Amino acid sequence: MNHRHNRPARAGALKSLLAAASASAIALFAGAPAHAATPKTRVAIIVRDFGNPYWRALRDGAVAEGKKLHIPVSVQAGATETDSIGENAKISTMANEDFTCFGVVPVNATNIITPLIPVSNKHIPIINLDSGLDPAAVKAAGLTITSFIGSDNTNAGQIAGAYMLKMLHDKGNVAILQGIPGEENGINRDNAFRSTTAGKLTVVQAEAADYERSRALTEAEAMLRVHPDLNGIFAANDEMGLGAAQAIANAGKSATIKVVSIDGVKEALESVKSGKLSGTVSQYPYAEGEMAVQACHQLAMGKSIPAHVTAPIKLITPQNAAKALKSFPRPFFTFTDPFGTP
Amino acid sequence: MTNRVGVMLRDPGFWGDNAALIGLVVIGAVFSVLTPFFLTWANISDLLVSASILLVLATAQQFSIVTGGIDLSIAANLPWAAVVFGLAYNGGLGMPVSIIAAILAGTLVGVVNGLVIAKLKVNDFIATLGMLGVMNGVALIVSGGQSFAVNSHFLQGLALGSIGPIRYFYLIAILIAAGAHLLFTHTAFGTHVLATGGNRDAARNMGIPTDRMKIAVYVIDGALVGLAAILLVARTGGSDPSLQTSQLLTSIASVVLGGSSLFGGRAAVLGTVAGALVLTTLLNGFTLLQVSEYYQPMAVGIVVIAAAVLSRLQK
Repeated sequence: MNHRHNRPARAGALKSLLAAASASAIALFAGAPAHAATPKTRVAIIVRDFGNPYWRALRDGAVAEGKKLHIPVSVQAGATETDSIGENAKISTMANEDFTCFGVVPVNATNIITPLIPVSNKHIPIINLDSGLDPAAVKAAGLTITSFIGSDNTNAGQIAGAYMLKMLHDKGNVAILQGIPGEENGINRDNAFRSTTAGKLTVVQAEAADYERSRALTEAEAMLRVHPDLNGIFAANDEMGLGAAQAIANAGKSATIKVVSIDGVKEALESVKSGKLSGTVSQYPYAEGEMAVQACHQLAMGKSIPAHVTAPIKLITPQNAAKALKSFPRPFFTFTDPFGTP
Repeated sequence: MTNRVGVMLRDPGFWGDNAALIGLVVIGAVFSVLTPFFLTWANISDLLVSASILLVLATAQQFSIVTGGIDLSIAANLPWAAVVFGLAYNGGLGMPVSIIAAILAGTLVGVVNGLVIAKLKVNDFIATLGMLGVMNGVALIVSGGQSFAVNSHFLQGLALGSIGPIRYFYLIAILIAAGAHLLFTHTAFGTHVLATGGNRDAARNMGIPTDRMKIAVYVIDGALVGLAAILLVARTGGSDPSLQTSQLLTSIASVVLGGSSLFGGRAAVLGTVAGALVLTTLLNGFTLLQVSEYYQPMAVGIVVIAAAVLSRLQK
C-alpha cells in the first residue's frame, strides 16, 4: 500500500507502537483533547472498517472537525467491510460511555439497530451516516434517528452512466463490477447505472467483486477474454475500478476500453489524472465526517438539524482531476453545508 | 503473596494449563486501571453479550478441533443458517419453527462435513474449506444476494432482555459451554470422541466407531452454528449472506488460546470460554481506550502466539 496519504494517525501510530508495552502511554492515548468548548459534548463515530480508504477519509474528516470545534471525537470500526458483529459490539461498548452523540455507518440495513436501542432510549441523538438503515426495521425497533447524512448513490450511478454514454457515443458493450452482494449503496449505484444506460449500452456481464481490487482484477481479466468487443467497465467503487483499469492496462487495451467507478479515493483521482481510469464520481466521506461532527455540535447547542442532508458528489475527469487532487480530501467546489461552517 | 507467585512461577504446568484464564485476569486488571469505564457492571455485561456469539461458535469449533479437525465452513454456515432462519420467519412460519429450521440448516452442513471427512476420507481442512465456498454460494443464491431485516419482538427481547441482571444472550452461551464441558468430562461419548482425537488407530482397535464419532462432532458443531445464527439475527436485526470470516478466525483463536491442541485429543472447553473472553475483552478495552483499530488485530495476534507458547508448558 503505497498510497496512504493524509493520515495524521501515522505519526501517532508509530509513537504508540514504541510505547505499546507501557501502560501509561496507552493511558495518554485514551486522553480526550483538552479545553473543550462544550465540555458536555463527546462524539462517537462508528464506521465499517479502516481497510477501505473511503472510511478512513470519513474518520479523518470527523477527527479534524472535532479538533477545530474542540469536541472530543472517538472513531471506531469493525474488522472488515462485512463485520456486522464486530461493529455491533463497538456500538454496545460505546453506549456505556458518556458520549452525547452517535454517528453511525451500518454494514447492512439492520446490523446496528439493536445495540442502538439503549442509546435511543437515553435520548442520545443518533445520526445515520452514508448508508441508510431500513426505515421499517428502525420503526419496528422504536429507534429515533435524528438525521441522515450521506451521498445520493442513485445520483452517483446516474452520473457515471451518463459519462459512460458520452464517452461511448451512446452505443457499445459494457460490463459491471458489483460490490458485496446485498450491500445497499452498491445496489443503488448498479441499478442507476443500468437504468441510465438502458437501451443504448448492452450490459454483457455483471460480476460481484466484493469491492476488492484483486478480485476485480481477476474478474476483469476474465471479462476481457470472454468479451473481446468490450467497450467499457463500470465498477461500483474505486478499488474495483482500479483493479479493472489495471487488467485493461495489462492487456494493452487502455486506449479502447473505458473504466468509470465511484468514490473518489486519492489513488483513483491520481489514476484519472494519469488517464488510466477514465473517470470517478467522487463522493466526499471526509465532508460527511466533518458534517457529522458539526451536526452533533449544533444539537449540543440546542439547535435543530435537518432530517436528511445530501453530501456533495462530483464527476472527476482528466480535465478536473488535478484540481480535485489539490484540495483532496475536501471538495474543490462549493456546496451547501446546512450546518453553516464548511 | 510473593511466595505464592513464586510457587506458581516455578510450576510451568500452571501457566500452560491456565494461559487463557491468567491472560483474562491480567488484561482485565490492566484495563480496570486504565479506564473507569471498564470495570462497571454495564460494561462487563455488554462484554459478555458481545462474546456470546463467539462463545457458541468457539464451542462448536472445539468439537471439530478435539478430533484433530478444523471447521472452516463456520464462516459460511453461520450466514447460511441466519438466512434460512430469516426467510422462514419472514415467510410466516413462526418463531419456534424458524428456530428449528436454523438449527437444522446448520446441522445439515455438519452432516455433509462429517460424511465427506469420515466416509470419503477427505482431510478436514480441505472438506470444510470446500463447504465454506459451497455454503457461501448457497446462502447468496437463497437470499438473492440481499441482506434483509427480521423484525421480531421476541428476537429484540432475546438480544436486550435479561433475567434479573443476567442477560439471556450470555446465559444461553454459558449453558451451551457448560453442556459441552460436561459432555467431554462426564459421558462415555465424550471419552470416545477424545480417544478418537488422541489416537485414531488405538481408538478403533478399542472398538470405538471412529468414523461415527467424527460425523457426530461435525453434526454437533453444525447444530451449534445454527444456534449461533439465531443469536446473530437477534443481535444484528436481520439476515446477511456475507461471509463471517472474522468470526471464523476468532473462533479458532479462542480454542487455541484455551489450550486445546490442534492435533486433537484434548478438550478444554473452559479454556475456550476464557479464550473467547480474552479476545472480546481486548477489543472492548481498546474501544474504551480509543486505541486505533490498526493495533487491535496486532494485539490479538500477539496474545494468540503468546498463549500457544505458554501452552507448550502444559502438563
